[in-house]
Amino acid sequence: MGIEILIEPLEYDFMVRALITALLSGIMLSVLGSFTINKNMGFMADAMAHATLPIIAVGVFFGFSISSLGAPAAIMIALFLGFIIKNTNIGEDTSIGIIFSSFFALGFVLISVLDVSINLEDLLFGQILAVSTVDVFVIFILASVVLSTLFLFFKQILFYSFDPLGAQVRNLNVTFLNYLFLIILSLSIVGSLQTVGIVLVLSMLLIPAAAAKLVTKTFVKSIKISAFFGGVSSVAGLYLSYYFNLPSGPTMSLVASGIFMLSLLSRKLLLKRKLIIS
Amino acid sequence: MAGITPLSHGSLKIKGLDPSDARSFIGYVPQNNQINWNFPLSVKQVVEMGLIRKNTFNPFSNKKNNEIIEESLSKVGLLERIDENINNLSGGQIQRVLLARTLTQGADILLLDEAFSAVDIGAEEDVMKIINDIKQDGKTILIATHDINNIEEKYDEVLCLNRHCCAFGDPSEVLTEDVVEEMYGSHNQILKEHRPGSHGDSNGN
Repeated sequence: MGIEILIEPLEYDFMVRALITALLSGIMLSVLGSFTINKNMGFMADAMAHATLPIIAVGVFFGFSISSLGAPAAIMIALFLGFIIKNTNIGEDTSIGIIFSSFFALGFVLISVLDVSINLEDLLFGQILAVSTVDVFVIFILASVVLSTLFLFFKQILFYSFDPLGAQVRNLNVTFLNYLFLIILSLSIVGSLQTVGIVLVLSMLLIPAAAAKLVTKTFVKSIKISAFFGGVSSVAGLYLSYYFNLPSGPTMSLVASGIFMLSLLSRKLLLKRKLIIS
Repeated sequence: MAGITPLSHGSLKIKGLDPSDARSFIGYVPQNNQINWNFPLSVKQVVEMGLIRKNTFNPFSNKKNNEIIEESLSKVGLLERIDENINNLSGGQIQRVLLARTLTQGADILLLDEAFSAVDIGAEEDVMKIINDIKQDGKTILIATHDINNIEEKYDEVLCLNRHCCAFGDPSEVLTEDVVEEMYGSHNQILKEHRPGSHGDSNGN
């Protein structure tokens, strides 16, 4: 018992691939999540996930695999969303809502009209056990690009997110930083669709970050703890789904929710003992 | 002046340059509500932003920058709060942190947008004292404000604006009744008659 529980599933190649994919997307999403929750961009992130549906429908119709469509789809969506929000005066939430629902609806219509063979349930809730070696390779490249871009531009993106006007006066290229963040956010979301799916990707993006914010005092620490929570949620979720025959994406989301509840409780305890400041 | 809003008419030069080319001379303290306070940043991280440039690709701090940050924070009297979360500070202390941020830049011209809007009177005096110290270092400080109380004691010169320039010069000379009316319209009585217990006649009579 003990260590065998962790090792036994890894005798299967598909579980090794699933574990690497889960860990990479869990960490990538939860690191970006720390920025997303503080920038109040949860709805935007949800729209990015849903807006992939028509692109996937058309791509699969022309014979591309879902993972190979990830990067171009993500960049197109990020640029399009960023452009629409900047150039309309109907409010950010409304613009996102319109794009979100229109694209999602278009996706369903296209899947039906083009008669594309896509398992919708897998696309909506993830099917990590079906990832191929190529998929693992693609998500590894995506995670490397996303995390190293965030590492290099960390201070500039943080400055722009905290004080956009101040950053502009400081001569930072704020338009570039805005689109850069949208693109890496979109890449991490679209790259994780196979892990947790369109509907549940938000849970892996927002919940570990929100839980980490509850139990830490500084932003940098909250990113590290969020990455840890994200990694634990995805790996623990995968093992639970293996042993109890549960759907993998929803199990990962529920583990993240459980961590959030525990963080909430421990915050209450820490506040009582005055170990953290509200 | 910060080169953000395009000029509707006229021209503006800072040290002979267009505003967007003169940003390196400008230190900017934005209005409180322009900042995203969700981020649990430390005082040090906020002050360090004054040192961030387009080519800043190192996410870690270096020793030289740390020295500049500490020097700037000691000038505004907040060195001992360097690791504190910015959200635990009072309005006046936040203004002092944002002033320290402009000091790290070494900017010659400081623009303060509604610097005292979220600050009580006692803290405002502290901030004014620091602003006067900065002035002694030979810097030009421009403050946008709607508060004309004791204005002649606080500022060397005022530029009164209400869609156009109403007056410019020494506040004790240019802030005449006519200029105040030009700025605040028929509500100027509220300001003129303002004293403890009385807010003037709200009808402007």
